[in-house]
Amino acid sequence: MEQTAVSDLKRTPLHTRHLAHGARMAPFGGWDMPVEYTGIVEEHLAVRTRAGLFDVSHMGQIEVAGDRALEAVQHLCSNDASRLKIGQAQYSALTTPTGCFVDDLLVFAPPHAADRLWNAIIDAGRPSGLIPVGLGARDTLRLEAAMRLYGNDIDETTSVLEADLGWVIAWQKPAFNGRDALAAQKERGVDRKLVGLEMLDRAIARHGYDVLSQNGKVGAITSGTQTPFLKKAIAMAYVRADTATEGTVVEVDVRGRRTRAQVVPLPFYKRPKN
Amino acid sequence: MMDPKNYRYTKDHEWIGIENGRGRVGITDYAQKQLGDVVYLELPPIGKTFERGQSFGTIESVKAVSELYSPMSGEVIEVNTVLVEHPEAVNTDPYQSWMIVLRLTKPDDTAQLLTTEQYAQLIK
Repeated sequence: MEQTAVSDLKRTPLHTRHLAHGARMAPFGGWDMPVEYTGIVEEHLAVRTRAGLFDVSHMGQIEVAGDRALEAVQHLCSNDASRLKIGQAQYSALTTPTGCFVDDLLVFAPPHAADRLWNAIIDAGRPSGLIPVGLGARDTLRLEAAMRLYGNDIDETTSVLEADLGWVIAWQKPAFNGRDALAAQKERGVDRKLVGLEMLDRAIARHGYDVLSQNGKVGAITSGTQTPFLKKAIAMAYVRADTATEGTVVEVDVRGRRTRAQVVPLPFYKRPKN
Repeated sequence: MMDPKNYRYTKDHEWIGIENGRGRVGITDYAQKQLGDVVYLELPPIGKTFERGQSFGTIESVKAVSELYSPMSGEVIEVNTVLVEHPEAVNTDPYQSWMIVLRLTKPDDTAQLLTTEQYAQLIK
Protein backbone atom coordinates (compact mmCIF):
# COMPACT_ATOMS: atom_id res chain seq x y z
CA MET A 1 0.00 0.00 0.00
CA GLU A 2 1.18 3.53 -0.66
CA GLN A 3 2.39 5.47 2.34
CA THR A 4 0.62 8.74 2.88
CA ALA A 5 2.33 11.53 4.82
CA VAL A 6 0.51 12.19 8.10
CA SER A 7 -0.03 15.81 7.02
CA ASP A 8 -1.95 14.64 3.93
CA LEU A 9 -4.35 12.54 5.94
CA LYS A 10 -7.92 13.64 6.36
CA ARG A 11 -9.24 14.26 9.85
CA THR A 12 -12.73 13.60 11.13
CA PRO A 13 -14.53 16.30 13.16
CA LEU A 14 -13.62 14.26 16.27
CA HIS A 15 -9.86 14.18 15.61
CA THR A 16 -8.97 16.44 18.56
CA ARG A 17 -11.15 14.25 20.84
CA HIS A 18 -9.10 11.18 19.87
CA LEU A 19 -5.83 12.96 20.64
CA ALA A 20 -7.26 14.17 23.97
CA HIS A 21 -8.12 10.55 24.86
CA GLY A 22 -4.50 9.58 24.07
CA ALA A 23 -5.47 7.31 21.16
CA ARG A 24 -2.83 5.56 19.07
CA MET A 25 -3.49 6.99 15.61
CA ALA A 26 -2.81 5.36 12.24
CA PRO A 27 -3.61 6.01 8.58
CA PHE A 28 -6.76 4.19 7.44
CA GLY A 29 -8.14 4.68 3.94
CA GLY A 30 -6.67 8.18 3.73
CA TRP A 31 -7.86 9.19 7.21
CA ASP A 32 -5.90 9.65 10.45
CA MET A 33 -7.93 7.33 12.67
CA PRO A 34 -7.75 5.98 16.26
CA VAL A 35 -6.63 2.32 16.27
CA GLU A 36 -6.89 1.92 20.02
CA TYR A 37 -7.30 4.03 23.15
CA THR A 38 -6.83 1.63 26.08
CA GLY A 39 -6.17 -1.60 24.15
CA ILE A 40 -8.12 -3.78 21.72
CA VAL A 41 -9.03 -6.45 24.27
CA GLU A 42 -10.32 -3.96 26.87
CA GLU A 43 -12.30 -2.02 24.25
CA HIS A 44 -13.74 -5.21 22.76
CA LEU A 45 -14.88 -6.43 26.18
CA ALA A 46 -16.34 -3.02 27.04
CA VAL A 47 -18.63 -3.22 24.02
CA ARG A 48 -19.68 -6.80 24.78
CA THR A 49 -20.29 -6.25 28.49
CA ARG A 50 -20.87 -2.48 28.94
CA ALA A 51 -20.77 0.13 26.16
CA GLY A 52 -18.40 1.66 23.61
CA LEU A 53 -18.35 4.84 21.54
CA PHE A 54 -17.06 4.78 17.93
CA ASP A 55 -16.12 7.53 15.50
CA VAL A 56 -17.44 6.33 12.14
CA SER A 57 -17.54 9.75 10.49
CA HIS A 58 -14.79 8.69 8.03
CA MET A 59 -17.24 6.31 6.37
CA GLY A 60 -18.55 7.46 3.03
CA GLN A 61 -22.11 8.70 2.79
CA ILE A 62 -24.03 9.45 -0.37
CA GLU A 63 -27.14 11.57 -0.17
CA VAL A 64 -29.77 10.72 -2.74
CA ALA A 65 -32.37 13.49 -2.89
CA GLY A 66 -35.23 14.48 -5.18
CA ASP A 67 -38.69 13.31 -6.24
CA ARG A 68 -37.42 10.03 -7.69
CA ALA A 69 -34.78 9.38 -5.03
CA LEU A 70 -36.49 6.22 -3.77
CA GLU A 71 -36.82 4.86 -7.30
CA ALA A 72 -33.08 5.40 -7.89
CA VAL A 73 -32.13 3.74 -4.58
CA GLN A 74 -34.44 0.81 -5.32
CA HIS A 75 -32.68 0.27 -8.65
CA LEU A 76 -29.13 0.53 -7.24
CA CYS A 77 -29.55 -1.55 -4.08
CA SER A 78 -30.65 -5.12 -3.48
CA ASN A 79 -32.80 -4.54 -0.38
CA ASP A 80 -36.25 -2.92 -0.28
CA ALA A 81 -35.79 0.71 0.81
CA SER A 82 -39.53 1.43 0.51
CA ARG A 83 -39.97 -0.32 3.87
CA LEU A 84 -37.95 2.38 5.66
CA LYS A 85 -39.53 4.98 7.92
CA ILE A 86 -37.79 8.33 8.61
CA GLY A 87 -34.81 7.80 10.95
CA GLN A 88 -34.58 4.08 10.26
CA ALA A 89 -31.62 2.39 8.61
CA GLN A 90 -31.37 -0.75 6.50
CA TYR A 91 -28.38 -2.90 5.55
CA SER A 92 -28.18 -3.32 1.79
CA ALA A 93 -25.86 -4.20 -1.08
CA LEU A 94 -24.92 -1.70 -3.77
CA THR A 95 -24.78 -4.25 -6.58
CA THR A 96 -22.99 -4.60 -9.91
CA PRO A 97 -24.91 -5.98 -12.94
CA THR A 98 -23.44 -9.41 -12.08
CA GLY A 99 -24.85 -9.31 -8.55
CA CYS A 100 -21.53 -8.59 -6.85
CA PHE A 101 -20.70 -5.78 -4.42
CA VAL A 102 -19.79 -2.23 -5.41
CA ASP A 103 -20.04 -1.75 -1.64
CA ASP A 104 -22.26 -2.54 1.29
CA LEU A 105 -24.05 0.32 2.96
CA LEU A 106 -26.69 1.47 5.36
CA VAL A 107 -29.60 3.26 3.75
CA PHE A 108 -31.22 5.77 6.06
CA ALA A 109 -32.92 9.11 6.49
CA PRO A 110 -30.20 11.28 8.12
CA PRO A 111 -29.92 13.16 11.45
CA HIS A 112 -26.83 15.31 12.36
CA ALA A 113 -23.93 14.74 14.79
CA ALA A 114 -21.24 16.97 16.35
CA ASP A 115 -18.08 17.18 18.44
CA ARG A 116 -20.13 18.34 21.45
CA LEU A 117 -22.23 15.21 21.22
CA TRP A 118 -19.10 13.03 21.64
CA ASN A 119 -18.18 14.71 24.95
CA ALA A 120 -21.77 14.52 26.17
CA ILE A 121 -21.95 10.78 25.44
CA ILE A 122 -18.56 10.08 27.03
CA ASP A 123 -19.63 11.96 30.20
CA ALA A 124 -23.10 10.46 30.37
CA GLY A 125 -21.81 6.95 29.71
CA ARG A 126 -18.92 6.99 32.15
CA PRO A 127 -20.91 5.66 35.17
CA SER A 128 -22.04 2.65 33.12
CA GLY A 129 -18.48 1.93 31.94
CA LEU A 130 -18.66 3.35 28.42
CA ILE A 131 -15.26 3.96 26.79
CA PRO A 132 -14.17 5.14 23.32
CA VAL A 133 -13.39 2.27 20.93
CA GLY A 134 -10.89 2.35 18.06
CA LEU A 135 -10.57 0.63 14.70
CA GLY A 136 -8.71 -2.35 16.18
CA ALA A 137 -11.57 -3.50 18.41
CA ARG A 138 -14.08 -2.46 15.77
CA ASP A 139 -12.51 -5.10 13.53
CA THR A 140 -12.54 -7.90 16.13
CA LEU A 141 -16.11 -6.98 17.15
CA ARG A 142 -17.47 -6.97 13.62
CA LEU A 143 -15.77 -10.30 12.90
CA GLU A 144 -17.32 -11.92 15.99
CA ALA A 145 -20.68 -10.67 14.72
CA ALA A 146 -19.75 -11.95 11.20
CA MET A 147 -20.26 -8.54 9.63
CA ARG A 148 -18.58 -8.62 6.21
CA LEU A 149 -15.81 -6.08 5.67
CA TYR A 150 -15.61 -4.56 2.20
CA GLY A 151 -12.21 -5.26 0.63
CA ASN A 152 -11.71 -8.34 2.85
CA ASP A 153 -14.85 -10.44 2.77
CA ILE A 154 -16.80 -8.86 -0.06
CA ASP A 155 -15.88 -6.95 -3.22
CA GLU A 156 -16.68 -6.66 -6.92
CA THR A 157 -15.83 -10.35 -7.50
CA THR A 158 -18.03 -11.85 -4.77
CA SER A 159 -21.78 -12.12 -5.28
CA VAL A 160 -24.36 -11.30 -2.63
CA LEU A 161 -25.36 -14.99 -2.54
CA GLU A 162 -21.76 -16.25 -2.29
CA ALA A 163 -21.31 -13.88 0.66
CA ASP A 164 -24.33 -15.63 2.22
CA LEU A 165 -26.16 -12.31 2.43
CA GLY A 166 -29.31 -13.53 0.67
CA TRP A 167 -31.37 -11.76 3.35
CA VAL A 168 -30.51 -8.34 1.86
CA ILE A 169 -32.03 -9.35 -1.48
CA ALA A 170 -35.64 -8.21 -1.81
CA TRP A 171 -36.73 -10.77 -4.42
CA GLN A 172 -40.21 -9.17 -4.50
CA LYS A 173 -38.68 -6.16 -6.30
CA PRO A 174 -39.21 -6.79 -10.04
CA ALA A 175 -35.86 -5.21 -10.98
CA PHE A 176 -32.60 -3.89 -9.51
CA ASN A 177 -29.00 -3.87 -10.62
CA GLY A 178 -27.79 -7.51 -10.66
CA ARG A 179 -31.19 -9.12 -10.00
CA ASP A 180 -31.10 -11.34 -13.12
CA ALA A 181 -27.58 -12.58 -12.39
CA LEU A 182 -28.49 -13.33 -8.78
CA ALA A 183 -31.72 -15.10 -9.74
CA ALA A 184 -29.77 -17.33 -12.17
CA GLN A 185 -27.18 -18.06 -9.49
CA LYS A 186 -29.89 -18.92 -6.98
CA GLU A 187 -31.42 -21.32 -9.51
CA ARG A 188 -28.22 -23.30 -10.20
CA GLY A 189 -26.62 -22.86 -6.75
CA VAL A 190 -23.36 -21.11 -5.79
CA ASP A 191 -19.95 -22.71 -6.45
CA ARG A 192 -18.41 -21.19 -3.32
CA LYS A 193 -19.77 -19.75 -0.13
CA LEU A 194 -18.60 -17.59 2.77
CA VAL A 195 -18.44 -19.70 5.93
CA GLY A 196 -17.36 -19.33 9.54
CA LEU A 197 -14.33 -21.29 10.73
CA GLU A 198 -13.26 -22.07 14.25
CA MET A 199 -9.66 -23.19 14.66
CA LEU A 200 -9.23 -26.61 16.25
CA ASP A 201 -5.44 -26.35 16.46
CA ARG A 202 -3.65 -23.47 18.20
CA ALA A 203 -3.19 -20.94 15.40
CA ILE A 204 -4.73 -17.81 13.98
CA ALA A 205 -5.90 -17.87 10.35
CA ARG A 206 -5.42 -14.51 8.65
CA HIS A 207 -6.59 -12.83 5.44
CA GLY A 208 -5.26 -14.60 2.33
CA TYR A 209 -4.27 -17.93 3.92
CA ASP A 210 -5.25 -21.04 1.88
CA VAL A 211 -8.01 -23.39 3.02
CA LEU A 212 -7.25 -27.02 2.13
CA SER A 213 -8.92 -30.43 2.07
CA GLN A 214 -7.27 -33.78 1.30
CA ASN A 215 -7.63 -33.00 -2.40
CA GLY A 216 -5.90 -29.62 -2.31
CA LYS A 217 -7.00 -26.01 -2.09
CA VAL A 218 -10.72 -25.45 -1.52
CA GLY A 219 -10.75 -21.78 -0.57
CA ALA A 220 -9.12 -18.82 1.16
CA ILE A 221 -9.45 -16.94 4.45
CA THR A 222 -10.94 -13.45 4.15
CA SER A 223 -10.77 -12.33 7.82
CA GLY A 224 -9.39 -13.96 10.95
CA THR A 225 -8.43 -13.14 14.51
CA GLN A 226 -8.27 -14.34 18.08
CA THR A 227 -11.46 -13.00 19.65
CA PRO A 228 -11.09 -11.44 23.10
CA PHE A 229 -14.67 -12.20 24.17
CA LEU A 230 -15.18 -15.76 22.91
CA LYS A 231 -11.46 -16.47 23.47
CA LYS A 232 -11.17 -18.56 20.31
CA ALA A 233 -9.43 -18.18 16.98
CA ILE A 234 -12.14 -17.55 14.39
CA ALA A 235 -12.15 -16.74 10.68
CA MET A 236 -14.34 -16.28 7.67
CA ALA A 237 -13.43 -17.90 4.36
CA TYR A 238 -14.81 -18.59 0.92
CA VAL A 239 -14.80 -22.35 0.43
CA ARG A 240 -16.07 -24.67 -2.31
CA ALA A 241 -19.79 -25.34 -1.84
CA ASP A 242 -19.15 -29.05 -1.11
CA THR A 243 -16.98 -28.14 1.92
CA ALA A 244 -19.33 -25.43 3.23
CA THR A 245 -21.48 -27.71 5.39
CA GLU A 246 -21.39 -27.05 9.15
CA GLY A 247 -19.15 -29.50 10.95
CA THR A 248 -16.83 -30.07 7.99
CA VAL A 249 -13.18 -30.17 9.10
CA VAL A 250 -10.72 -28.42 6.78
CA GLU A 251 -7.10 -27.34 7.09
CA VAL A 252 -5.66 -23.84 6.96
CA ASP A 253 -2.13 -23.24 5.72
CA VAL A 254 -0.73 -20.98 8.47
CA ARG A 255 2.65 -19.87 7.12
CA GLY A 256 3.48 -23.39 5.95
CA ARG A 257 1.92 -25.22 8.90
CA ARG A 258 -1.28 -27.19 8.23
CA THR A 259 -3.73 -26.50 11.06
CA ARG A 260 -7.25 -27.91 11.48
CA ALA A 261 -10.41 -25.80 11.49
CA GLN A 262 -14.11 -26.60 11.54
CA VAL A 263 -16.98 -24.99 9.64
CA VAL A 264 -19.33 -23.37 12.20
CA PRO A 265 -22.54 -21.35 11.88
CA LEU A 266 -22.39 -17.54 11.53
CA PRO A 267 -22.43 -15.26 13.41
CA PHE A 268 -19.87 -16.38 15.98
CA TYR A 269 -21.47 -14.04 18.50
CA LYS A 270 -25.12 -13.09 18.74
CA ARG A 271 -26.34 -10.55 21.28
CA PRO A 272 -28.63 -12.25 23.79
CA LYS A 273 -32.22 -11.07 23.45
CA ASN A 274 -33.64 -9.44 26.59
CA MET B 1 16.56 -12.41 36.65
CA MET B 2 18.93 -9.80 35.33
CA ASP B 3 18.30 -6.08 35.50
CA PRO B 4 17.04 -4.83 32.09
CA LYS B 5 19.68 -2.09 32.37
CA ASN B 6 22.27 -4.77 31.62
CA TYR B 7 20.38 -6.21 28.65
CA ARG B 8 21.52 -5.69 25.05
CA TYR B 9 19.04 -4.76 22.33
CA THR B 10 18.45 -5.20 18.58
CA LYS B 11 17.08 -2.65 16.15
CA ASP B 12 14.16 -5.12 15.72
CA HIS B 13 13.24 -4.54 19.39
CA GLU B 14 14.40 -7.80 20.96
CA TRP B 15 16.39 -7.82 24.20
CA ILE B 16 18.97 -10.35 25.35
CA GLY B 17 20.27 -10.83 28.88
CA ILE B 18 23.71 -12.45 28.77
CA GLU B 19 25.14 -14.48 31.67
CA ASN B 20 27.75 -17.25 31.66
CA GLY B 21 27.69 -17.75 27.90
CA ARG B 22 23.90 -17.96 27.81
CA GLY B 23 21.43 -15.43 26.49
CA ARG B 24 17.82 -15.03 27.60
CA VAL B 25 15.70 -13.46 24.82
CA GLY B 26 12.50 -11.39 24.82
CA ILE B 27 10.94 -8.33 23.20
CA THR B 28 11.03 -4.75 24.46
CA ASP B 29 8.33 -2.62 26.04
CA TYR B 30 8.30 -0.50 22.88
CA ALA B 31 7.69 -3.63 20.78
CA GLN B 32 4.79 -4.87 22.91
CA LYS B 33 3.17 -1.43 22.75
CA GLN B 34 3.44 -1.43 18.96
CA LEU B 35 2.00 -4.94 18.74
CA GLY B 36 -0.91 -4.39 21.08
CA ASP B 37 -2.56 -7.28 22.92
CA VAL B 38 -0.43 -10.41 22.39
CA VAL B 39 -2.53 -13.56 21.92
CA TYR B 40 -0.21 -16.19 20.47
CA LEU B 41 3.42 -17.18 20.57
CA GLU B 42 5.17 -19.78 18.44
CA LEU B 43 8.62 -20.82 19.74
CA PRO B 44 11.22 -23.29 18.46
CA PRO B 45 12.00 -26.69 20.00
CA ILE B 46 15.00 -27.16 22.31
CA GLY B 47 18.12 -28.07 20.36
CA LYS B 48 17.43 -25.86 17.36
CA THR B 49 20.24 -23.49 16.35
CA PHE B 50 19.95 -19.97 14.98
CA GLU B 51 22.30 -17.46 13.44
CA ARG B 52 22.14 -13.84 14.56
CA GLY B 53 19.21 -12.14 12.81
CA GLN B 54 17.43 -15.40 11.92
CA SER B 55 13.77 -15.78 12.77
CA PHE B 56 13.31 -18.09 15.76
CA GLY B 57 9.54 -17.79 16.09
CA THR B 58 6.46 -15.65 15.64
CA ILE B 59 4.41 -13.47 17.93
CA GLU B 60 0.81 -12.60 17.15
CA SER B 61 -1.27 -9.79 18.51
CA VAL B 62 -4.98 -9.41 17.86
CA LYS B 63 -4.03 -7.29 14.86
CA ALA B 64 -1.02 -8.92 13.21
CA VAL B 65 1.80 -11.47 13.05
CA SER B 66 5.45 -10.49 13.63
CA GLU B 67 8.66 -12.46 13.34
CA LEU B 68 10.98 -12.84 16.31
CA TYR B 69 14.66 -12.44 15.39
CA SER B 70 17.52 -13.99 17.27
CA PRO B 71 19.76 -11.24 18.70
CA MET B 72 22.79 -13.60 18.71
CA SER B 73 23.85 -16.95 17.29
CA GLY B 74 23.29 -20.00 19.44
CA GLU B 75 21.47 -23.18 20.35
CA VAL B 76 18.10 -23.18 22.09
CA ILE B 77 18.54 -24.81 25.52
CA GLU B 78 15.34 -23.57 27.22
CA VAL B 79 11.89 -22.54 25.99
CA ASN B 80 9.39 -20.63 28.14
CA THR B 81 6.37 -22.94 27.80
CA VAL B 82 4.51 -21.05 30.58
CA LEU B 83 4.67 -17.92 28.42
CA VAL B 84 3.31 -19.86 25.42
CA GLU B 85 0.24 -20.65 27.57
CA HIS B 86 -0.04 -17.04 28.85
CA PRO B 87 1.34 -14.85 26.05
CA GLU B 88 -0.48 -11.78 27.44
CA ALA B 89 2.34 -11.52 30.02
CA VAL B 90 4.47 -10.04 27.22
CA ASN B 91 2.26 -6.94 27.46
CA THR B 92 2.26 -6.62 31.23
CA ASP B 93 5.90 -7.50 31.90
CA PRO B 94 7.95 -7.51 28.69
CA TYR B 95 11.38 -7.47 30.36
CA GLN B 96 10.67 -10.54 32.52
CA SER B 97 8.81 -12.38 29.73
CA TRP B 98 11.73 -14.30 28.27
CA MET B 99 10.98 -16.61 25.36
CA ILE B 100 14.08 -18.75 24.84
CA VAL B 101 17.54 -19.23 26.33
CA LEU B 102 20.39 -19.61 23.86
CA ARG B 103 23.76 -21.24 24.49
CA LEU B 104 25.76 -18.59 22.65
CA THR B 105 28.08 -19.81 19.90
CA LYS B 106 29.41 -16.41 18.78
CA PRO B 107 29.95 -14.18 21.85
CA ASP B 108 31.38 -11.46 19.58
CA ASP B 109 27.85 -10.89 18.24
CA THR B 110 27.40 -8.43 21.12
CA ALA B 111 29.39 -5.88 19.08
CA GLN B 112 26.33 -5.65 16.79
CA LEU B 113 23.89 -5.02 19.65
CA LEU B 114 22.73 -1.80 21.27
CA THR B 115 23.24 -0.77 24.88
CA THR B 116 20.25 0.41 26.95
CA GLU B 117 21.21 4.05 26.21
CA GLN B 118 21.63 3.42 22.46
CA TYR B 119 18.30 1.61 22.32
CA ALA B 120 16.56 4.41 24.21
CA GLN B 121 17.97 6.78 21.60
CA LEU B 122 16.65 4.57 18.75
CA ILE B 123 13.04 4.58 19.91
CA LYS B 124 13.01 8.26 20.86
